[in-house]
Amino acid sequence: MIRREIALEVNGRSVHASVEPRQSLADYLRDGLDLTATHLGCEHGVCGACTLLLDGEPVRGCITLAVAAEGRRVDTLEAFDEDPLMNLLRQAFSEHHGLQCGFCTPGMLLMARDIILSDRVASDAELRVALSGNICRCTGYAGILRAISAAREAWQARPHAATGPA
Amino acid sequence: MKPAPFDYAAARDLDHALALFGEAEGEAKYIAGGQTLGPMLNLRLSQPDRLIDLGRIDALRDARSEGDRVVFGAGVRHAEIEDGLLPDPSGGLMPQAAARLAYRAIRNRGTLGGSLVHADPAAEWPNILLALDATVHLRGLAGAREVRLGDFQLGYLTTDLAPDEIVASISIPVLGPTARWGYHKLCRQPGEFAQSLAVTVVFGPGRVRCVLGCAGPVPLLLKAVSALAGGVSGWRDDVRTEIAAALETDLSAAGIAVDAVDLRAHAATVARSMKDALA
Amino acid sequence: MGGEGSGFGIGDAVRRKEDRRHLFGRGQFTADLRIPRLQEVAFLRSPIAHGRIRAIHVPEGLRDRVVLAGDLRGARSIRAVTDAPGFNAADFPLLASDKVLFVGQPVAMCLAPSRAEAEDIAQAIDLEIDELPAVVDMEAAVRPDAPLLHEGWGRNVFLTREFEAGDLERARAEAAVTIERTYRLNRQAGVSMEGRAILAHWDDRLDELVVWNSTQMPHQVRYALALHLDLDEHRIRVVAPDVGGGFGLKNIVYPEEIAVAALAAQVRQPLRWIEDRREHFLASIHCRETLYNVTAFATAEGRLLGVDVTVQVDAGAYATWPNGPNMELGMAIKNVPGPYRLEAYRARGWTAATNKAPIGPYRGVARPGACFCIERTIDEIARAVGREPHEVRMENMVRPDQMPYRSLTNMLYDNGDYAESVRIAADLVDVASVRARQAQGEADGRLIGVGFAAYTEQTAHGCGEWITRGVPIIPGYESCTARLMSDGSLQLLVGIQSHGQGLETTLAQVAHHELGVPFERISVRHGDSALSPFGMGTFASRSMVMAGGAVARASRMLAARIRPIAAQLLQCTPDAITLRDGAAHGPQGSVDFAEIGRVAYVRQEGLPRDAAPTLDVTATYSPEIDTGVFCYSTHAAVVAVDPGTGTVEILDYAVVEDCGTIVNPMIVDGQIVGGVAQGIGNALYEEIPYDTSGQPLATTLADYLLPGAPAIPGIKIAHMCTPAEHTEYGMKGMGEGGAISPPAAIANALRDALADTGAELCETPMTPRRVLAAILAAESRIHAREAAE
Repeated sequence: MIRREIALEVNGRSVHASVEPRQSLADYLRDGLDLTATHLGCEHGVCGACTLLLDGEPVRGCITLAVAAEGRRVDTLEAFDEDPLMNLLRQAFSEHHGLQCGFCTPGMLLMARDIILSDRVASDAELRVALSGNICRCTGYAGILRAISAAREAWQARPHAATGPA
Repeated sequence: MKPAPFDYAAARDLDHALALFGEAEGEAKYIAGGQTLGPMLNLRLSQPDRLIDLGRIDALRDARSEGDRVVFGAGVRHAEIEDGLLPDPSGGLMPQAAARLAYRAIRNRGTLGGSLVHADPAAEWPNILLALDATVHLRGLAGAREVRLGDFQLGYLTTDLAPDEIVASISIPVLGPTARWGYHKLCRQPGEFAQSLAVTVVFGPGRVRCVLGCAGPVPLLLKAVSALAGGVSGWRDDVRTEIAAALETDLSAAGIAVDAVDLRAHAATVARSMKDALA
Repeated sequence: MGGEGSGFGIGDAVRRKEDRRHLFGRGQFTADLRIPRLQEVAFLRSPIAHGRIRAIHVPEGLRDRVVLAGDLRGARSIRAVTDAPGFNAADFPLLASDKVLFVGQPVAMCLAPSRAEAEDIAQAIDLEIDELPAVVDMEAAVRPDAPLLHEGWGRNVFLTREFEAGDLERARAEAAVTIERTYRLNRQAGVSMEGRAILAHWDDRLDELVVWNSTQMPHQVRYALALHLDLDEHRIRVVAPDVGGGFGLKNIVYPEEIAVAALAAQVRQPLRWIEDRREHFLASIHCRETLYNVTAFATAEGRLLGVDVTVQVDAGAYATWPNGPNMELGMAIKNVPGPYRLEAYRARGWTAATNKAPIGPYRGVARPGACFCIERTIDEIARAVGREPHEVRMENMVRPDQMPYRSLTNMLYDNGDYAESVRIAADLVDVASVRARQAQGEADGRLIGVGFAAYTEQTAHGCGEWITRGVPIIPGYESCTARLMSDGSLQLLVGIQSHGQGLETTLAQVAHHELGVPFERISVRHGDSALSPFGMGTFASRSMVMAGGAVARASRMLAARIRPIAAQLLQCTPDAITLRDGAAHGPQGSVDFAEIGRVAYVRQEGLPRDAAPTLDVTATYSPEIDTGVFCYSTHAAVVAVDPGTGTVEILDYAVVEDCGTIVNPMIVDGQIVGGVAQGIGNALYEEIPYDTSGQPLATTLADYLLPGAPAIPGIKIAHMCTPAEHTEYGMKGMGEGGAISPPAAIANALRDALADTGAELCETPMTPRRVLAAILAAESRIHAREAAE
């Protein structure tokens, strides 16, 4: 079996591993590091359940090779236990019923956080399009969209909001 | 849904990539953003023996103005175009198209060159860059060459690229200040594959390139439609029937048969792209 | 009651207990479980729709990693049999060894430490199959010359049903208007975000098989495993951990699951199979594929006189456990009359076997099709008599003064005001303003239209109703063990399973309402056959009424046990005790539940002389009537159609529904919107076409479109609350309803938008291509007519 040594940073920790080149980043995180927040919903890049951050940008964990993450920074939902914006999102998702079965939720949260921080989205229609790469089968998106809007408002209204992202 | 085993090597630069290709046993394949190849590997539709990763070659990430052209490294990502971080030769066409290409998480990884090499006639870049009259610059074991995009796309998911060759850069003429464009994509949901995709670029008086995707195996440069658009001054709604007729001429010249339903849809997207370009 | 006014009782929008773990990425789905020595399973599946296996060549050195049908000992094929007259039964093998009947049918299991290596083994196996002609079309399947899937059946038909009531000939004779239509709902899949999943291992300490299974019904899975394996049921434990969506497709015990469990018991090796997305499209149940031929008779005013319908169901190749393809046809026939007064009705139908994946229950089961059939037809009647469809609807509906109303198909509609739901829906989408806008025309050239669709949904049906369906398992009850702990906190152990419905929250609301135990001190444990009494599971819009009823009863039994203890401690009579705010209150003092619990468990001397120690009771709940309680609803859609491209946009969507007493309005609205989203998928996006050789053409999410956020508009919801008379608190089930009406409402809105062109949509999904084809067909009809004149 072909293996490659890799070194990368996962959720703020340096890790070294020996992986099969064919192993996806999502599979490595789940099986190699027991970080199971990253869910696999389709394994061909469509559903968004495996969304994680690579060097701070949302990417599909299922079609990113672990070997290609060599030297890079990877963050999964597990990195955001204390994150102020993520906690606003958590509160809003719960308040607005933005989740039912919970399977798409980690990907949704990471995408939602990126949408709010990047400030690319103004209208409700744009928010829907920005979220179109994350499929939820349970909620019909209503609660998710309300939650993201509410969290965004709270984030923008926070003290010292003008000083930039956290 | 896991890939068959393969070996992997990351290339430092283009010469290293070609060297890795030259020494590989079995089938070697380049990977850049991996947003198309990734799913194909997972589905085992592609089973190479070795992947050569172009993702770490800095030179491929470059974009610069060179005279009246902008030269994009093939590894430029859709999201960089979307965010307006790079010089734009297209007067806003490329950023607008990029913003509706798949999803943000895909756009963060997927590359301009990768899209051209995949050569899907329903994809944005093969069509839009054909309308913009782009040229691709290739590097291979035998040296470098350049090919007009119209000659690069040979068939459905097929290009003029030899197995060892790499798209190094894409050069696109800068539209003049009076140039106009229109772009219309028919797809069932944002980010999904297009069912029809039309782009019309008016370079100047009488100089129009109108391209239609999804109708044939490759993006189609519509000569009769382009001539029609070049011959009218401004948009009139009654030109729609002429567009439909010109489109039929172009499709039959290309030996492409579409049914009445598809013809109506393609005529609509072509007309809308032309309307936006001429209005 | 103990929970009134607390903000956590019945009727309160309580935030869900289950949210926290998912929001921190700490949910535990089957693929997240960690167990030593685990081997992953990949299935080798048939690439051929219909054929005879000639040979399975396993490469040298891999034979011990590959399990074929003959290697499984003491495991039986699935044989789902229903009592329907003339039902044809056939074994569904766990692994095919003789014939294969659909693309994706499991043939071999491949074992390896990782899934990737297991797939390598599957790829290395050479499967030789002699191809037979594939039966792909349900109408062709029942012709005498069709190749037989199951030799010995004589015809590719699982079952036929006929029903007739009233005088259809009189209706025909009296009719001023006759509408004839063919409606087709195409095949789709359920597509839970988590696919099927199973992890099975032998627990040597307990000497039992432990099965972690992504299922809606862990107790039924245990029963099914005992039925199919040589294993006593006491040696089987089934746990449903977090389940990433079910929608009916996990209300089945599949060959893969029995095979993995059987092998884990046989070889004493922990095994796991995680269905991938392609397998999901190939071999999880499909749904919806039905063809309706309807003739309807009405007066010149639009009064419905009679309906004559033929229903054909394409059930795929096999009957799944437990219910097989039995439900679709019977429920379709039963539900075509819908909320309407109908005096003459004839229905005939059959369920064909084809070389496709088996069909099974998916949210709405048969009713989206039945609704499409009657609601499209009502619209055509209204158009034929020149009246507003929603008004014709209202006039034909069962009136409140007729309730309870026994339908021709013997369903007892219990209460409510069906026409009022139409009226409110019409107000919500403002029909008058749509008409005004239509008269004016749209600046962008699009055509807009409004459409309605109503249903009445039988929920929480009891034993007798299930018996009429001929099913082998009668899910007429639910169960709950309620346990007040020694510190006054409360555990509810229930036999259902919750996979998004929020029952960890709503069942706690019920117990809080009854007992006044603080909401945060109540936990609900579900989905584990070792923990709770036997229960049927979560499906058929039943768990809130049935498990909620069981919790209510168990809570009251517990209250009856608590009162004498409190009375002893407070020196009063038990009937003077009230329970609220975590304590028992007497005329002259209070004692909190912690003290009562302490006495009941560890200070027995404090108990009344005749009181047994511990506070642990079990109750079952069966509804008072078998015929169920009917949740009804009207949906209204406003759409814009682009006549150049066939693209449909939903501009406005309203749902008016009556599910009786609402336990948690946030969760009810979430179920409605989620159901509507799936209905919109059914209406506009989702389809698995097959080619003539039986190859499915949508096996990835690139080919099979799921509705994304831009596809689902904001949904307006209005509630009418007519409490049911025969359930606890007046609850009615409502989980599936949202998915029933959208295809019909959207098709009717398209019909309205395209009224001037004469185009109509009679087939789902209404893709841009189909919409455009309908417009072109209508145009050519007009041209032909003009040419003839």
